[in-house]
This record gives sequence, C-alpha cells and structure tokens, in this order.
Amino acid sequence: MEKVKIRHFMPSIKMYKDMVQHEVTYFQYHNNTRFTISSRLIKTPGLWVNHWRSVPYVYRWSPEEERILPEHYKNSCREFMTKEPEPVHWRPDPQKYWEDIDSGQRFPVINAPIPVVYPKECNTGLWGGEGIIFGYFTKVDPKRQKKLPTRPRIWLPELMKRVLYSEILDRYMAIMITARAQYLIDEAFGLDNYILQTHEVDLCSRLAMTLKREMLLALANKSLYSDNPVKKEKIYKKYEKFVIPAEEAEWIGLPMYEAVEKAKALEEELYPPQPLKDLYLVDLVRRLKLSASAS
Amino acid sequence: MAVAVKLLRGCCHCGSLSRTSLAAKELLSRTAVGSVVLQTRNNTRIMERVYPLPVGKDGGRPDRSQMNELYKILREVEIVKYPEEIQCILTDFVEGVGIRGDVVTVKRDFFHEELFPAGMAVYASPDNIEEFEEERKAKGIDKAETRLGVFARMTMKELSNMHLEIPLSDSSDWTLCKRHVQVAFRIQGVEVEEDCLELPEEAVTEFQDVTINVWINGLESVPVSATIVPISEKFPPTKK
Repeated sequence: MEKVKIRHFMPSIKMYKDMVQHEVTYFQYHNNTRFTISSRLIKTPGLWVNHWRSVPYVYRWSPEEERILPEHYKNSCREFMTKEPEPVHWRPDPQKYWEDIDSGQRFPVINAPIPVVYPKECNTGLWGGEGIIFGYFTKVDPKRQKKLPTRPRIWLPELMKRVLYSEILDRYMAIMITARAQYLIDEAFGLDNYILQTHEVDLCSRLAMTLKREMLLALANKSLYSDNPVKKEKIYKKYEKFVIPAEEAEWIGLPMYEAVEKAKALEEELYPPQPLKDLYLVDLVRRLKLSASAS
Repeated sequence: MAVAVKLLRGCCHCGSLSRTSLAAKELLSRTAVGSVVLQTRNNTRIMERVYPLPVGKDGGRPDRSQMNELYKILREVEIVKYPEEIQCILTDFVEGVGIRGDVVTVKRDFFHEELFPAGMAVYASPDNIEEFEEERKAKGIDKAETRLGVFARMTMKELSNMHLEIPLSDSSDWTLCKRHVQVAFRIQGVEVEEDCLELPEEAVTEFQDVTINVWINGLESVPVSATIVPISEKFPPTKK
C-alpha cells in the first residue's frame, strides 16, 4: 500500500498576519487556550466595546476628527460601542441567587454572555444576532455511560440564500440570512420594518446599515416611486414614523473612513483654505505703511 | 476566523483519510460531493456555562484575571425552533392553495421561495388584511362561497384537459341532446347535471368533433372538446 505523508499545517508569519481580521476580546487574554485566535489589540484608550462583546466592525476616531464630525453621528457611534445587544445564544437568569445543593450555600447569579464571535462575513448578510460560538464541549457516550474527553468546539450558524424584497427601495435582493433573521423579518411583516425598527447593535452588519441609510434617505427626500404618485404617498404614510431629516440620514451607518472624508469635504466647503499670497500681500502693505509712518 | 475554521476541518480530513491510498481518497471525495444533503437548520442554539462564573471584584462580572479555562466549557440548554408555517394573503390564484384575497397558512419555505418572490402572496399584516377586506367589499362579494374556490378551479383544470367521447348509434338517426353528453361524461367518471351543459347552437346529426361548454356554479364556463363516435367502435360486440 502506498504511504501517504501527513504534513502538519503550520502557518507562516505572513499567513498569521492575514488572519488578523476580527476583534476577539474574549480569548486573547488567555494564553493557555488550546486554540488561539490572532486578533488586533486596540491602542486607542477610551471608548471601546466591553470585554464580553464581539463586533464585526468598530468606530474609532482621533481627537482631530472629533472636531469635524457631526454630533449626531458621534452619538450613534457611541451608542453602538456601549449598548448591550439582545441575548441570542444565551438566556439571562431572572433569579438573583443560585443555591449549591451539596453545601446549601447561596451565590449571586452573574449574567454574562457566552463567547460569540461575529466575523467580517457578517457584514455581507443578515445574521439576526447569530454568530460563531467558541468553547469546550464534553460529550457523553450513551452506550458506555461515560464522559468522553473535553475538546474545543465551534458551533457555526447555518446560512441560506433568500430573495428579500424592500418596499421602499422597490428592489429584490438575494441575501445570505439565517433562520433567525428570516423569523424576525416575518415577525416585523417585511424587510423594511425589520431594518428600520431594529437597533444597529442587534442588526450587527454593514449591509443592514447601508440599506437603512438608503431607505431613510429615500423617505427624507421623497425619492421613492417617482413615476407612481399614488403608491408613493401610500408607502410614505406607512413608514412615516421612521422619517428623520435628510442631513442626519446621510450619515447613518457610514464607516468611519467614509464619514471622515465626507466631513473633511464639508469643512473645506465652509472654510475654504486662503491662499498664502493674499496673506503675504496684506502683511507687506502693513509693513510698508509702518515703515512710511516711522520715516 | 474563516481561516481558523478551515484549519480545523483540514486536520479532521487528514486524520480520517491518512490510511487510504490517493486513488481511494479521490473516490471518497467525489462520492462525498455527490451525497451532500443540504438541509437548513431551522433553529437557534442556546448555550450555558457548565461551571457558573465567579463574582467580580465590584460584585458584577468577573475580571480577566479571574477567568479560567473551565468557564469556557459549554452545554446546550435549549434549541429554539421557529414555526414551520406562516399566514399570508394570496394576491393571485395559486393551484391547490387558494384564490386572490384568501388568508391561508402555508409552509414557510414555500412562501419564501415560491410565493413571495413571484409576487403571489403578501404578509398577513393588519394593514394588508384591512386593505383586502375593503377590496372585497368594493367588489360587492359578501361571502367566500359565491366565488369559485380552490376545488372549483381544480375541477375546471381537469375538465379543460379531458377529451370526451360521445358514443351514439350508427344504425338509426339521431340529433345530439344533453342526455347523450351527460351519459358520455358519466362513462368517463364525471357526474354533470343537465342544466350545466351548453351544446353548440346548430343541431348536430353527424359523427364529428364538437366543443361543449360546462358551466361551473353558474359563474364560469369551461370548453370541453369532444368527438362523437359510433357505439360499435367504442364498445365492440363480444364474440360468443
């Protein structure tokens, strides 16, 4: 029989660098894990998602950018970074204490989410808060009534491609979604309601935020159904409670680099840079006048 | 993240396929691709820590220094299943389901993959239900029974697909009447009343092809193609 050589896979430094994609806050501080996830540490002090959360994208900005960015955009970013999402893969315990049966002691219940990771693929679909669960799992052998050794395990969400329809944009889209997202959309009676009702923290995807921005802009500018005025009014009336001014709607869910570019462009429009030759000319005239008066 | 997942899977494959030869490996992979069953999981897992977390220094969640490997051991508490059926309003006639304006419960997959993308159904939201109710009143239809329902539509399709053979005598003279057609229908397994039938206007006295209109519930008619054949051809006499 032919021998097959087993090559153990050892990633090079370059490959490890490619793996640096996501902010995984749970595992990076424990060096003894049997699987380690390379992730990036954030040097910027101050605002940051807490130790128990993982997110597919972040908002960070420097003190220089803080000056030019609009206040409502910064507030929405801060809300995203600090708000706790709805529990999806875990159930918070309503009781205050739990009792140990053996000793009869009472301990306070600590409600902490289990480690769920949202990869960057989240941003291209609607996962409805589902993510990848990392942990250890002990399996029990039913035949031998014995516990098998505990081993690391990953629980993946199941994705399916579905055609979704947006009433405001009048557009059919094939999007990767989970069963939970599908259920939530059905509960809200349509994609538009689901995206407009749900908070950015629970949507947890860039695609959803892009759609939200487009919908709100269409509502604010009344640019929906331009050829059908009857339907236009009907749809506008249906989603009237979500309408916000167009200046705010433009900024919703923008990635930070785009927002900064936009803010800089606005800044230049408002305060156009003055050419230096004008400044020097004024200065020269002033100096000449001074010298003339002195003589 | 995707890379890490791939790594683990690769290792599993190495372990399971290391003893087989390369040819066998290829074969296995080929068969595996053919036999993959893609079935979507219609649920969400709810997990729990096997060992409860210790109390933090401030009485809340523990610090990083207090965390341990043991607190990552998980256990499945519950698997939340989502309902398999959904209520929707049809905007068009769907065979075997209903007609426009009907509020029906169908399989969720059927709704999402067939009906909704094709624009044949909408969500049964309170606004939509009200809208269709108004439309029904505007048309002046009081009850669902006065319209043609699912079964009537199925019957119409069945009738339009069938070909009727009307056996008549070849020895004596005749003119086609409703009784002849009713008997011919009965031979083919369809019971029709005489009032529903509508013969061609000109009197038929020869063997030929005709079309017969069948009125359903007195609302709509279906043209049924028929041929008049001699009875000796249709039922040849048995030899003794």
